[in-house]
Amino acid sequence: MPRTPTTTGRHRAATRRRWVLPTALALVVAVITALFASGSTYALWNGTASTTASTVKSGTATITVSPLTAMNTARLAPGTSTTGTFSVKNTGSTALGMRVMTTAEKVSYADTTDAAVLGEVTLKLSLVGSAADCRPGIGGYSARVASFDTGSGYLTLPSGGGGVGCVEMMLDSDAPQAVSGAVVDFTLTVTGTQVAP
Amino acid sequence: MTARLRLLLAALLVTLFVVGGSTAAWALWTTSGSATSSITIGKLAAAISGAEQMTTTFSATNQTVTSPLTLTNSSNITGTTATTLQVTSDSSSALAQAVQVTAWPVSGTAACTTTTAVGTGSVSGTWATLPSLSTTLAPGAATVWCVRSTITASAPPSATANVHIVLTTTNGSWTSDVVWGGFYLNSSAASTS
Repeated sequence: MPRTPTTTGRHRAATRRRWVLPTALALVVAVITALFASGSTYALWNGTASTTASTVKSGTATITVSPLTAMNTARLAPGTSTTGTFSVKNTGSTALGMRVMTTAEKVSYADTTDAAVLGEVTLKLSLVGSAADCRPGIGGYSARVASFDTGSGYLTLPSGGGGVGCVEMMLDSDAPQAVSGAVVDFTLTVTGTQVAP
Repeated sequence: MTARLRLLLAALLVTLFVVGGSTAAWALWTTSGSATSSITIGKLAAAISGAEQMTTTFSATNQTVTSPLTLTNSSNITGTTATTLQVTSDSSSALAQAVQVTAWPVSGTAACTTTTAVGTGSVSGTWATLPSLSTTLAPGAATVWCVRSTITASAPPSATANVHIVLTTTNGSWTSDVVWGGFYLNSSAASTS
């Protein structure tokens, strides 16, 4: 009796099976990786229940900054400085990372360029316990007045926390006489950014 | 690209996207406040007074004159006031050299009389060689020097010396504009001895 030829060759069946294992492996890897990354799985079952009425309030991020005390009561000579203080308070409900920077400066009555004047004045900032502790030479973050920027997170104020900033403006000891008589007005801006949860 | 390589690449991309895309996201609130102030850089200046009152004519009966000289740091910063001398070229430097000078700081102009004794911190010389009268002063402060001039026997008769006391205030490398006070010394025709 003659044999009937088969329609399913062994070679084609083997080719289809090569997709199964790698594909399954890839899916397993993807699922496991996703589980590790997200840290949880989700069940589709759910139920509902009512709670008593409640109020959800959003937090606040606010600060108050007092005016700087007068710093032009003493005139600057080469190598000398003058100090002033301001207070900052976190009046919001979340901790804030603080950044202090000059956002405006104006030079008046100068016999030279504004840049020449600003290039001879250094601003120093430190935190002190009280205004009485603010004195020349106390140190702290230091930079030219025109480029002063502590960067984010200079300090962290918890909700309700506050501090006294001691600002020292110093004229370089080798400042040229051309800067004498100049007046520099400047603005310090304190920015509080919510500390990342 | 082989099938195995494609598979590995796919797995890598899945891992990357899942890990990279599943991090928590949050918005950070910000708030700010400002404070302003100003500073003033000082300026140097000097002032002198009393020099004109030192003008005198020496004679046999007037060989010594005592007069206060006020030097002021009229800057708005601390500075050192210091003097130098000039005898004008059209006057007698010989007479200036023949007048002995002693100067010392006193508490005020009233403390400088013909009978006041020479005090501490005195400097001596002639009106051609007197050392600098130097004092470090607070902004706006002044110092009074009692200046006693005595003519000597070597003074030429009938001569006039026009003396300028030049004053500056300095702070480090900074120097004020120059100010000066002048006076005349005259010798009589007769001998002063």
